Amino acid sequence: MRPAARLELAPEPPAHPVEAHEVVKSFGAKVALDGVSLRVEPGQFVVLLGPSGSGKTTLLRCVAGIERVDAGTIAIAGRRVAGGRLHLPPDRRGLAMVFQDYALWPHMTAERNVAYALRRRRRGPGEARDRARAMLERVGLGGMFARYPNELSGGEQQRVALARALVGNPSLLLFDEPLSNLDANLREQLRVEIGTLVRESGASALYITHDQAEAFALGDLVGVLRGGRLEQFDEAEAVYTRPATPFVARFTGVCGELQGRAGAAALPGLRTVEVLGARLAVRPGAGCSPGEPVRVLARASAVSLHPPGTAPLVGTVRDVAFRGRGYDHLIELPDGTRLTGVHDEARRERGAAVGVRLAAEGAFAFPEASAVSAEGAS
Amino acid sequence: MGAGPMAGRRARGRWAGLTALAAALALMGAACSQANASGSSGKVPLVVYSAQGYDSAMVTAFQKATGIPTKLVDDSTGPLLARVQAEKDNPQWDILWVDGATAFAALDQEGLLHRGFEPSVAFTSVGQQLIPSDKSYIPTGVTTMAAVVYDSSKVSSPPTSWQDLLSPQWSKGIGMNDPSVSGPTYGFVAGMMQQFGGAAQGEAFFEKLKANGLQVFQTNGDTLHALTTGQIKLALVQSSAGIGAGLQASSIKSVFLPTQTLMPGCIGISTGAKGAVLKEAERFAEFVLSGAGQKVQQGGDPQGDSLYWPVLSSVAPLPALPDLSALQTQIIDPTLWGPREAGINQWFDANIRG
Amino acid sequence: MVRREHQGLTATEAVAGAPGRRARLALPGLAGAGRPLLGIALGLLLVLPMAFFLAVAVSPRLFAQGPQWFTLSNFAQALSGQTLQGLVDSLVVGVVAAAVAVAAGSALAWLVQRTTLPGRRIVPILVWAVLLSPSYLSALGWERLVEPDGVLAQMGLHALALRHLVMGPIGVTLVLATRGVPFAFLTVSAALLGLGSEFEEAARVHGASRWGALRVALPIVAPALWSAAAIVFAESISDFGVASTLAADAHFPVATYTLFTAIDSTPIEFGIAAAVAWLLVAAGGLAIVAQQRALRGRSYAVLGGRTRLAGRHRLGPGGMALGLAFVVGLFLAALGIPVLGAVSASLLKDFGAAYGLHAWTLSNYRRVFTDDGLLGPILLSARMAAITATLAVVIGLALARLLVRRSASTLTRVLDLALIGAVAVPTVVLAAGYIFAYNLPILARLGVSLYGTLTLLGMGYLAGVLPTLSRMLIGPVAQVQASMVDAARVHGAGGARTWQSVVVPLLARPILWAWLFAWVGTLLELPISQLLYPPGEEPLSVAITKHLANYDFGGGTAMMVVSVLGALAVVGAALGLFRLLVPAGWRRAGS
Repeated sequence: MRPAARLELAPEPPAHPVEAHEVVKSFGAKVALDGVSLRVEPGQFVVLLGPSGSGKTTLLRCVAGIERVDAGTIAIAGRRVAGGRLHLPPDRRGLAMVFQDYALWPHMTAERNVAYALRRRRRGPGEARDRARAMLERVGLGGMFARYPNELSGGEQQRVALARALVGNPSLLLFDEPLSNLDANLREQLRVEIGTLVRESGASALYITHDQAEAFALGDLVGVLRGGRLEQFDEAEAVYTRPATPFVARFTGVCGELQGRAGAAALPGLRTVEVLGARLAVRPGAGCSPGEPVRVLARASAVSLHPPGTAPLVGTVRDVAFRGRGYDHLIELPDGTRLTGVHDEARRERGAAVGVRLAAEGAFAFPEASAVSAEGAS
Repeated sequence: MGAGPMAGRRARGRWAGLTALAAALALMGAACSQANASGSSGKVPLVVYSAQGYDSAMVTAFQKATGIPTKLVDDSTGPLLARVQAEKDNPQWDILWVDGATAFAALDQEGLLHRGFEPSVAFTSVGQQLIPSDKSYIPTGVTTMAAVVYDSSKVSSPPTSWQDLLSPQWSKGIGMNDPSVSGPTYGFVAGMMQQFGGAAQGEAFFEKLKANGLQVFQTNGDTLHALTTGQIKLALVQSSAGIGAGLQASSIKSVFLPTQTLMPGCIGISTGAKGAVLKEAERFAEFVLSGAGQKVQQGGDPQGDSLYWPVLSSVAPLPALPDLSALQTQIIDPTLWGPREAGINQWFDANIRG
Repeated sequence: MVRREHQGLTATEAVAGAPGRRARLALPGLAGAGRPLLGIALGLLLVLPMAFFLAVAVSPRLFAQGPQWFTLSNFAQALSGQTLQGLVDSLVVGVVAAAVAVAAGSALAWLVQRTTLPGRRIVPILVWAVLLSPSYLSALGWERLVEPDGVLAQMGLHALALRHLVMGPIGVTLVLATRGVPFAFLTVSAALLGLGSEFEEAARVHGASRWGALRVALPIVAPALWSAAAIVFAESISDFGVASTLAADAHFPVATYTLFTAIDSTPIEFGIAAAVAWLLVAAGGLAIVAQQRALRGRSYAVLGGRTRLAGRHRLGPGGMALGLAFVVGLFLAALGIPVLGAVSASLLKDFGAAYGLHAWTLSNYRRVFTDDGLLGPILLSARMAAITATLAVVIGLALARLLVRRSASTLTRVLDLALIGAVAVPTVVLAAGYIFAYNLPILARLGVSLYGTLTLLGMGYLAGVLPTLSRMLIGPVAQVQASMVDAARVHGAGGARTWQSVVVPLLARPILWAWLFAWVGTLLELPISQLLYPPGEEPLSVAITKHLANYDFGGGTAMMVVSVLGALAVVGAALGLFRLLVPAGWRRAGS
């Protein structure tokens, strides 16, 4: 076997910015995208998060050129590729994509699958082969060049798909839930590799997933889609710590919801809320006026357990599960509200009374009305 | 239909699609026009629809003798008449040449036949009787319906009259053609009705035949096949088919029970043939009835359709044929029996065939 | 790395496997401007001629076929007496044949796709051989076998009971059912390939017996079963080969035959034929409506999520014996006996010492090869068939693509209905419709002279094969995952290159088979040839029929056998070349 050629992962044209403006797309009566705008800066890794039906796949396919937008515009590298009557086909958008179902061509070997993406670069067959092999080695598939897709495991197939996307040094990479068909441990491993390879390549990346852990781990920016609208688009940390809507909070993980009444402003950026007779400091969402009923959405990480009487709230342990690094508890508050997955290093037995404290940075108050109306959607 | 997945490719897909379709159509057009162009020459081509076994030999000889380009549609009578009927608005044929005067009488009633042409040849008396008064078609030979064909190695005493067929000896042993499939067979059924004195009497005869186990096959070939494979002992088929079978195997014999119904083979000229084409069509009919044409007609299908009795006094039948004047024969009036064909065939289908 | 014992089939995993939730097929190509073109093509090829012919039923005057501008008397006649009996017989035969064909075809598909049955690899080839042989031959073969002096009798077996069984409704149904088995096999095989074993496994785990597991799997492949049943039904009620031989000789009237006699014998009654055709179209339409009702809009061949390729049941000795007996029996009935019968008929000297094996002669074959009148028709038909098959595959792919799309359901449903209606119409109707439509005097005045040309004959052939062919392609086309095409486009391939490098390789085998199906079908097509062949350009089937009609049974059958064998030789050569020339990867895709 010939030694693998040295890999150049830097994009040949520099990484592209992507800009979507007020993109609308319907399928028959169903509106998949209802005016979505977002911008991916060159070299940025953007993850779009949302449940199925939220429109994230449609947005990705619109960017790829597989779907045609009904209204709005999309520009790649400052050049408009979709909008109005213009529609640049996928092969002329200079991008690459990893598909959920891998989309490897069953009649081609791994090597030919990868080399296919090089043809538009008009490289000689020898060079294309060398680059394809080098890329396959890079994703850990050295020695499997001649295998057909059906001779590879799911993880191996997705690595081939990844190699195919990366081999042409594209300026923009699209990922359509690439890990959702893989087992949990493989998923974690491949996620790390995707992050590393994409950042090494310097390409801009648009990645969609319904897994919030994946989103936060990978994304410089995270967008949360719901019903064809972008609910929040911000840095990953901001989405986690300052969810813009109850939906975003819920979709990125809450362990329970408490009903209360908004009080006065507390420390800067915080507000007091009266819950079960206790006054808690929380982060307020838009529209929380004093005296109005609110819903407090709590992250599991913000809830801590204490001896009874030493914390503002009391609760009863209903269930406890050993998690290796400690215990997860199910806590029931006096009004029946349940908090799930409350972590503590010490085990509390079922039926025991505990004090419950809520850290302000992980508790978000939203007006009761907006919290309820958002409930059905996820 | 403007749904999503296709949209992305419209710009290019349109071209790909158009190119593919255009290429496909061009391919077809080219391949076909090449064939269409062949054979064209200065003279207007003459189109002959014929079901005769010797027709392609005749067309070749006619072209050679006259230089008139002639094209043949050679098929069984049924499909040819269907084609003529479907083309009624815009006839594409100039000459129709099939067996059975009833079909021609029907076409004449619909105004599809050119009238008043009679070649100046010496017809036999039978031939003269077969010419219609309006001269809308021309007889070219006769066969009879129906010869009783049997295998002499198995059947020693063949029947001598139609009534004989009703005897128990022939129980389940007689086969005939289906008149709604085999044109000449309708002539047989109608002839039997005429011979027995009317439709009712004829029907009674066939009902008795059926009670004696008559089997109905589709055409001459099928009925003869049934005979050779032992399904039946006697086959009632067209005389040329029976005599032809005898030429192929000496044990196969035909008897001609009285009375035999004459089945003329006829040429009709289309009213669509005009001017030069009409002249060519008339020349075709004249050629068929010339000495040279009759040689072709007698040599073109020696074990089949060539086994006819000529209608010209100057031409003798092939040696395998018995003397026609020794047979008791009759002619059925096509204007009388033609219009009844549908009704009688339906009756036959419902009461005899099933 | 995953290795399974059935590598040849695993290749289809990606093709047949799991279309994602957006499994609409999106082949590039005839988009945009192509669709109206496709509409025009279908209109000219199928809709117009059929509509013209059907119009004769209610308005004979329109085409000078009678005095009335409007009448229902043709329907009254079609719904009485023998014609009514024929219709009823056809419907019963069609339903039973469809049920039998689907049951046998499904069993065969399961044996081939899901068990370790020996010899399963040659089954698809045998299936295609059945599909390619004309139904006329099947019927003829059976007749030759059981008739009083047939092959069995000559071997000393006088199976009177078998004769009565075969030469009657049961025989007609049986022959039509065996001819329907390929449709069921192909459709159900495709569905089984897409159906992972987890459904069955889940059922077994939850306590279902093997039979119970089947009950779970059945509804999942139900769309395929219904689809197969609809097509077998439509094919059966429109079949003419069996109707004109076995059914006619058994005096078992079926609709196509009564329709044929209305057209083929004087007086020619196009009106009644058209009325019968209406009723057949309606029956075909009912079949599709029944199918759609039963499925309630579920799209077939689209199976969920991520399917794991099923393993194979290891058959025990008993199961293996049973399976083999079934397969051998099926193909003896569908293929062996007809071929044997037809060959024996063609070897039989017609007259004279026709009894006993010593009379068998090769002289009929010698005549076929020395008769120079036959070479022209063979070449003409081979060329016409090649053009027809090529166009049919191109248009058929486009139609199949439209039919598998889940969007645009109204149009798809209408198209589906129209195509099944067209399958249910005997081709003789189509041929007569072509004369009505393309021999209008007004066309001549407009300078359009299509009638009486090979082009029109070719269009007729195309219209004859297109409905069935496009339905045959639906399965394979439905299984090409949309992402296969998207991936090519995204990675820089234009529309043309995507077709060439992805779609054609993935569909290579079905395309080849479909082409051969159209080629063989056209090569031996009779009714359209008879009514549309241009003067002086005699097609093969007309030449053969002429010999059969001229009491030359042996010669005619020999020609038929030679033609079929020749056609099968071409098929074999094409398949051989496919194996030799096509890249190894192509053969992995699809089966």
